[in-house]
Amino acid sequence: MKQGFLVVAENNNDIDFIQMAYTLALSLKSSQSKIKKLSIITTETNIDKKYSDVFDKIIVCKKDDDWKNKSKSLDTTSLCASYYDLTPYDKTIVLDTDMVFTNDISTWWEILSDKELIFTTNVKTFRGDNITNDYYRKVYTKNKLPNIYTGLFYFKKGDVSKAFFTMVNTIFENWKMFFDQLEEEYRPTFLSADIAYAIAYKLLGLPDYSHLSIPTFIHMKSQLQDIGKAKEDWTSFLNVFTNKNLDIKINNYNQMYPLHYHDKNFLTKELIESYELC
Amino acid sequence: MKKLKRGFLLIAFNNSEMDYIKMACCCALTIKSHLKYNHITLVTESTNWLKKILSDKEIEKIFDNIIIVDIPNQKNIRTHYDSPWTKFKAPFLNNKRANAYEISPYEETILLDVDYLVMDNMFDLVWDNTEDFLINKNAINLRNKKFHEKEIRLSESGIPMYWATIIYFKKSELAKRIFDLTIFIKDNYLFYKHLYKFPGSLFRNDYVFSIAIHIISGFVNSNIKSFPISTIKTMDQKDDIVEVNKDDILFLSHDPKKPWINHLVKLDKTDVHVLNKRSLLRQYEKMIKTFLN
Repeated sequence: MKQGFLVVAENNNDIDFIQMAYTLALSLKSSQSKIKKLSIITTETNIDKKYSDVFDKIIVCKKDDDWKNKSKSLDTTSLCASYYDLTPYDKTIVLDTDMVFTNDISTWWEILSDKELIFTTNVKTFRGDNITNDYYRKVYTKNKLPNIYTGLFYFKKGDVSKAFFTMVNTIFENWKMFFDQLEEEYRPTFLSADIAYAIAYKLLGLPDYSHLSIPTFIHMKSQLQDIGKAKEDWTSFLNVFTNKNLDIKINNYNQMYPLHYHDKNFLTKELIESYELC
Repeated sequence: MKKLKRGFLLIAFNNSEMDYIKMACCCALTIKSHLKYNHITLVTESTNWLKKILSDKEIEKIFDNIIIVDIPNQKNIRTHYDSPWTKFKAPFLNNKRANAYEISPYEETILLDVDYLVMDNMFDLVWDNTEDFLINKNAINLRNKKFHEKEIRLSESGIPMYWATIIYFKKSELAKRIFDLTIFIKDNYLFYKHLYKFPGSLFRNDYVFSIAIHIISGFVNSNIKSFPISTIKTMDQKDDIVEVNKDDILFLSHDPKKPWINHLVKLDKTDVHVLNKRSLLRQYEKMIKTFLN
């Protein structure tokens, strides 16, 4: 059985997502005891060798300019519908690119393999508290959509996961029709993969796993941190500390779960170099 | 020295503004009155003042053991209120608390602030504990409202604040490590103030123990257990005591949102942390009469 991690990485004018995926791959290599492989799905054809060497597979897809008119996040959204077909693995953990791993989650694989498809439903603050606020998720709560996070989810090949991604594809192709069913006030005006996933999950009546503590990750969007109203770039007011073991402390809190840093300023040259040295 | 099995440790150093020895007497009297296990050790710099205010017989009734230590060499000035209308500053000689592990003559110790009045029997449930260390992190005021936001965490984005007001510890590896850490943090207080971003310049044992617990827990939220009653009822500095009886205390609770209002609050068989220390000292004579006879 082939197992591994998978991300979509697509550079834009502002952000080097390939570099992010590279750092994520290095963090997996340094933290995971068993499954360390990360493959990327991209439309980039000219990837620096330094980066490409750390990836297990680079799955290059053709650019589909049509998606640019539909999605906020350019081409990446269209690729999100195709994980089932594009993954080189039988069992896959799909990640957001702006993540790093500080701890070994190897035991999760066995636990997760009991299910065919499982999304993160509980995320944590940097202090390790469960996040209950819906500041960024009004569209979910107001439309009673399942509170699933696509930042980290697991699927293995099978009927359920195939049906799910087929449904996601259908929603992507007819997204306006599906999104029109949402409450107008909270309706995204663009194709959001996260919302499409939640709609597909709901339409298929897939199980509620919100009682499970894994999978999970630390979600660093500022308004979720229970620190009052805060600037979005959390690195401007919370201290980040790393040591040579690549432990990460935020405001002196050890980060024990996959860290979805979100604020791109987190990924400093020094941090990338620390991973490279490890 | 022979180890005593279990008891209470009260640390009291007088200063020019505040009679901590009298407060320790009030605290000890309530322990003797409400608890089955009530062996008490007073830690102070001298017995001179105690012998001036009480007879030898009275002292023996209140304290079972007195340990003399050096007075803390500390410049720590605290702003106090006595009701909303009186504000004053007083020295706060509190840095011996970190040494309680070494000082304590007991196998099992409950370390109490001397401004804590024991009015129920909760502490009788604590002895022979499976845990080596207990401390509370929740406090509510007399009107059952959450305590000030700044007393819940060391800073808005910081660690939870534990109240060093009441601490249970066994002579054990864990407790020793925590106390060793508190001594280290005390000695490097400015560094930890910078690291944990807590406000003000006052040395607070609450901060020191909170940081020690955070470190000992591996820099994540702690699994250190609380006392059976996990919330400390706390009388604010702007509140006042009307009267103390054997099993109940009547207070005037100041409402900061409506400062012209003082709520009459009666606590019946409920422990309370008295932050308005002068209000407690006003009750000293009456408490001696009520509890000692």
